Amino acid sequence: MITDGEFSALIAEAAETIPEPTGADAILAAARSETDPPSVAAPIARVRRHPRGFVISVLGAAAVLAILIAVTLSSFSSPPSVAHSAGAPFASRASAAPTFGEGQMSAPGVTKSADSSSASSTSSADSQEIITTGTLALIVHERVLGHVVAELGAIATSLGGYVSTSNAALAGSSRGGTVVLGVPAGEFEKAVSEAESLGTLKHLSTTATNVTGQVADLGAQVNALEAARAQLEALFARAGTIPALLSVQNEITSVQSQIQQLQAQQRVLANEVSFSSLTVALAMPSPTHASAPSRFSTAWHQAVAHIEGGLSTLLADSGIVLFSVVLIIVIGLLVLFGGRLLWSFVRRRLV
Amino acid sequence: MATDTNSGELEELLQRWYTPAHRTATLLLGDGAQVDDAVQEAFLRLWRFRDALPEGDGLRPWIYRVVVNACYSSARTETRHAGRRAPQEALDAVVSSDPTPDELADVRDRASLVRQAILSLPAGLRAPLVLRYYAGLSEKEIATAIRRRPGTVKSRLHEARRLLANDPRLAHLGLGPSSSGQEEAK
Repeated sequence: MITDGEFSALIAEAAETIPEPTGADAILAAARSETDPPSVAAPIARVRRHPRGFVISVLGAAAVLAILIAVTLSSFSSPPSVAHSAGAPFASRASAAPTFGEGQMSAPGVTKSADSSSASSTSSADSQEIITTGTLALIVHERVLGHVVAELGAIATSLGGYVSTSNAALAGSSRGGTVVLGVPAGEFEKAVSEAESLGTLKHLSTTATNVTGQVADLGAQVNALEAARAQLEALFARAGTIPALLSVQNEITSVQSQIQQLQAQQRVLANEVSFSSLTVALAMPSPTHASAPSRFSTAWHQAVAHIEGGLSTLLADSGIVLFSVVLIIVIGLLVLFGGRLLWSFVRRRLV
Repeated sequence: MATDTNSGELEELLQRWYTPAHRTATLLLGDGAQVDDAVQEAFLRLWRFRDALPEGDGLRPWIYRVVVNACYSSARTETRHAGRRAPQEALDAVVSSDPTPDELADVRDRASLVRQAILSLPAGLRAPLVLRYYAGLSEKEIATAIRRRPGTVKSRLHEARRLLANDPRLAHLGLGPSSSGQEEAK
């Protein structure tokens, strides 16, 4: 075997016998004849000259798209999850932390609060006693003020409640009205939603007060006083002298009075728990605000409101489909640009 | 239209590398217009992607890499036009036509015999051999140029040298089969 040096010399000798090439000018001419010469610094031109990178990107995007569609379809075939948490705190009086419905919470000026400061050590988690009150501020036109007041009364009556107070004025500094409704606690949410529809919602607040401890305390005090009264009545039967009889009689009267007061408080609490109070404040638009809107303005605001409502409905109903479409578009763009960068890198290796 | 600046870059490349590139292509493909086409395509590629050219020591293997790839592309194109034969066989067939006895009789020049022997090698062995012993690339640079591992390059070089040592056309030049090669042949 010959050495590497001898081998190199042999092949170099063979190469030297190859005639001197003369085609350099042809290459220069070919280069000059090329129009719009591509450059590495012109990625768009490179992609056009070498569409494989674009094809790879498109195929990658299509693969990702197919995977996401498959995942989306499989998610539709599975049992749907609960999309909206149903807030129905007023349907059950056993709720320890009442909340207002989600729909009402999305309205402007809607607030809620829960007060359990009156709970005592005797309260039980199994039977919560809750007083719910609400304040609803509506803007109504003066022409329909009387109709709205009547409708509020009809709402309370239809739900098994009553109108506690009602007043309305069409002139003067107190233009507007106030209607206080008492509705069964279980119908409070329905009463609010129906009352809302009578005007433009300006403000809504609800308060839930936990009075379980207070009720329990009253019951315990009544029981104790009734036991004391029984003992006093036994003493009264055994009293032998007139002064003693009078003294026991006075004590029995005092205890009986205290018992009646506590029982009255019990009844009030029970009524407040059973019937929720909804105060509806009716206000009329200010004169400038009432006279300013033109038909065009009204139509414009209605159109905006409808568009907002439509978009909200679309977003809520489209759910995972819209999310998947957006995700597919984002991933597709990433794959597209990533593929172009990758092809740029690969092409340099292929040159 | 290409600018003068770009043409100047191409002229510099041609002045420095055109002759070795052309001779490398000739050793890989044999004589003919196919060589000119391959070299032209190689330099046009270099010019098109001039911004990607490495600097320093990386330039030489890069240029030979482009030349070898252009030769392979040219050989494949010729093979398709010749009748869609199997790539390896067709590639060999394009560049390794065994000389007839009359042609052998006409070949008096040792260099010509060496070139004929190189062209008779399989294409996969030819490029490492030419790049190693003509272009003077290291095994690592050859590996970069033909996109193979250095170990593969080493084994191909060994195989190419073994085949050349056993080539009967080189026997009368004193480069024929060695004793070990004869034993292996037996």
